[in-house]
Amino acid sequence: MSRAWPLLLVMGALALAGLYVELSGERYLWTVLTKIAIYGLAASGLNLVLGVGGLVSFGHAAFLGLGAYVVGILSLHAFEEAPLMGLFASNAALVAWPLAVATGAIAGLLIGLVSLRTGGAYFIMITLAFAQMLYFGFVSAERYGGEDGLSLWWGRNELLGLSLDDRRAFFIVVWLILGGWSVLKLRLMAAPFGRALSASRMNPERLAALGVDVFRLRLVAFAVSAAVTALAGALLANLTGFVSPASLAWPVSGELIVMCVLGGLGTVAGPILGAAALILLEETLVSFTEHWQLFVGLILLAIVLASRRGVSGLLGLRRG
Amino acid sequence: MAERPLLEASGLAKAYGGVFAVQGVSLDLVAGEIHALIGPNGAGKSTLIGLLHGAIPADAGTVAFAGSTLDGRGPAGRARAGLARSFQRTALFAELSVAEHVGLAIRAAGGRSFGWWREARHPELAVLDELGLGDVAHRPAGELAHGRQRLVELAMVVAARPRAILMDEPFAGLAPDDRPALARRLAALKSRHALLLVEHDMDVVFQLADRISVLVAGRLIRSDTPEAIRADPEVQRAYLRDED
Amino acid sequence: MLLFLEQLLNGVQLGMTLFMMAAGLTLVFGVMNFINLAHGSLFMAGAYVAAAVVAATGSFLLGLVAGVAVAALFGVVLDRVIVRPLAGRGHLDQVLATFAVILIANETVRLVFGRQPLALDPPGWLAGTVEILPGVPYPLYRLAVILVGLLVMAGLWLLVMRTRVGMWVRAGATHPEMIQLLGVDIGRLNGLIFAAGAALAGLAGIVAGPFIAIQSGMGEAILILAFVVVVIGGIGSVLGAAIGALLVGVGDTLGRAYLPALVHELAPAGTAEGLGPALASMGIYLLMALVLALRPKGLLGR
Repeated sequence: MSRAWPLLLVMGALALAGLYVELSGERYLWTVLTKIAIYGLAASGLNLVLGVGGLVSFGHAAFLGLGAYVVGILSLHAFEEAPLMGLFASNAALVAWPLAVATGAIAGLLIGLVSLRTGGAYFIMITLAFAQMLYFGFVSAERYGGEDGLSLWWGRNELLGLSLDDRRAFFIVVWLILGGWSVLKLRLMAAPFGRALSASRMNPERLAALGVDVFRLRLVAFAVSAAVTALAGALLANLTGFVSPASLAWPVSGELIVMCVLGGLGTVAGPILGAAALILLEETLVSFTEHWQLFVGLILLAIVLASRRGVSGLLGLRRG
Repeated sequence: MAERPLLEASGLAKAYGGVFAVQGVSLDLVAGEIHALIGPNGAGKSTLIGLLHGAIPADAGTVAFAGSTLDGRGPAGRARAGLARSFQRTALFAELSVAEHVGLAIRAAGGRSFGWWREARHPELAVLDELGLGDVAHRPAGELAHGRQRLVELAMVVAARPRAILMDEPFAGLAPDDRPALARRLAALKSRHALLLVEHDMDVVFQLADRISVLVAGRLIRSDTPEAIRADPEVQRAYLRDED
Repeated sequence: MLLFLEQLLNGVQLGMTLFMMAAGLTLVFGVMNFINLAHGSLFMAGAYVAAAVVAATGSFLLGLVAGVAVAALFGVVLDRVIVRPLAGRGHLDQVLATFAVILIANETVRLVFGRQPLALDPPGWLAGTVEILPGVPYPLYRLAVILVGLLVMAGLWLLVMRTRVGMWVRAGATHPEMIQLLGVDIGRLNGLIFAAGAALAGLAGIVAGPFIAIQSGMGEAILILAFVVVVIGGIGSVLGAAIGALLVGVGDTLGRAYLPALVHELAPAGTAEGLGPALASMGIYLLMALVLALRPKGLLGR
């Protein structure tokens, strides 16, 4: 499987980094490393529709935030011992995380149904609008912290009886999830579904003329992509111990796109690389200046303007 | 040959802002024939193909295929019913391999949903070998020379075994050296697929066609055997005007 | 009833601001097929420059002129540096580049003006209220904004429908290839459209300045609403933008004013109290979804 080596390299690098952090004893680095893995997962989910499907979704922060809120809400009700609608309350990862995935999938299905009927500029604006809608929705949800958000002071979810508060254990779990999804994605991209999705990026009219229901193809891809990003959101809530509407704000959607593009749109390893690049860049710049966003913007602009064949050919990582 | 036509179009019309691109056109396609559609530039041939293909919604008229109506069905639905179309300008999936093009076409026509797990296999090499594309089966289609890209287009259309194919100027922009080969292949196709062929190259048309229809200013003025068309004064006038 | 009239006029006023934003956006989308996320930054530029000039000179009119001029200039720069090189490149590149511009603009504004919001007050000669109906006072300034909006609408209508340039713009919105055949200098036409849209965005920022906080990031909230307007109205249609802007402006304002109370009345006791306000803020997006379900390309989209 020659296609797999970039992924193996990246996952190996993450594991080695984990080893380094363990040896260095700097506990803060665990947060950075886990954040890279989680955002790598989120960007990888987005890349299914962006890189493979060719659909520019500027609203994936909605799924990230939804997944995070599922975790937050379930845990809150569990600790208040007042189940939501009499049913929903749990701090168990095996309950909360699949529920986050399901919520993401349903949201993706609904949003996709409305936004995938037309392409191009409409799709970008509509996905952005729906993310904004959910942002406002959570801001008005006073029960769950409203604009200030919800603090998960009781700690992380527990997985099969083990608390995930230990930073090493949590990173390993995240790493395994990232690896598992990435392997699935590799197979998906080589399977007929993935080839058809790629074809829909290159020439959707031609694909339709062959007899393919391009709308349904894209809808399924969008729902899967939303589900994966929602899972990343659930993990993010666990990492930061905090859930707020800010994770649904439009800049987050932009950051996810930047991660996909920086790492290379065509590969499975690309989004993870891109997440590492952007997060490390931000961490470095923050220590220099409080106006670090200015430099991120300038660098991004320079990259886009400089690459003549468009950003997809950026790091030379071949598309599939 | 009293058999039922495979493709029947009746009274097709399409107007753009008050100007009729196609008006009152009725034609049919019988199994086993090559039916050519000719006409001066701007006569509405591409619009007619679009109407038959389902890419352009008709203002009036109906289209039926193998007895059942196609009205209301888009290109994808018509392709699944057995009416395929080849494109005038090269419309391939640049980064997919030649074999993958054919594989997609076959799976798409089958109508089943695409698998998620097992890698797409390529048992379709027979089709590629027939068209002389066996050696480039795994190269990205975007890398091939223009003439061979035309063959990939043909392979895609044929692989799904459609009963009828709408061919929109397959010889357009093709180098003179490549033309005889393509003509031979088209002739070999008609036993399995009925062809409605839109073409400008008169040599090819008279060489291949069993029947010729002439479209002028959106109307079908004549539909007959090649000999009758060649001798028809009205047709000659329509073409002479175009050459002025 | 009187409150309703007041809210209705507020909604129309918001609609005017949205129209000024959306008109430029929809033409740039339609004619140049360019997605401009930085349109909100033009809104912000107009507001900031006007506020600074008013603070320095005390003249609202001077601030208005300066703000519109700087926004137009900013637009010209954006056009040269970003729009022309990226026009053919596809939406992803355009999204990334204009997203970068937002980051740069927001941070620059923080650098230059600090994090504290600036104030922009209506001019003295527009302060106070007017009785639009006996016993119904309404702020004069808001009426002025509505008037400005109507003037812009009329001006655009005249321009697009009655001049040669307008004819080219209309043709370009539906068949961009065609206008090149007519011998029109596409580059200059596009530059003109973009600069005009930028000026309008700057104007919107200035007239809205007294109502919203003039701070970094102020452009994006209104930008997203402007996108909703463009989607509802249909890309490339200025008339659609007008209809959409009024729908969104009035709908959002009335929704926020009346939905919470309505929900409170109709919903059974014990439902989350946040439901009303939540629906109010989400309402306009649900309206967009409804329009799209019925007409995927917007009301007047091609």
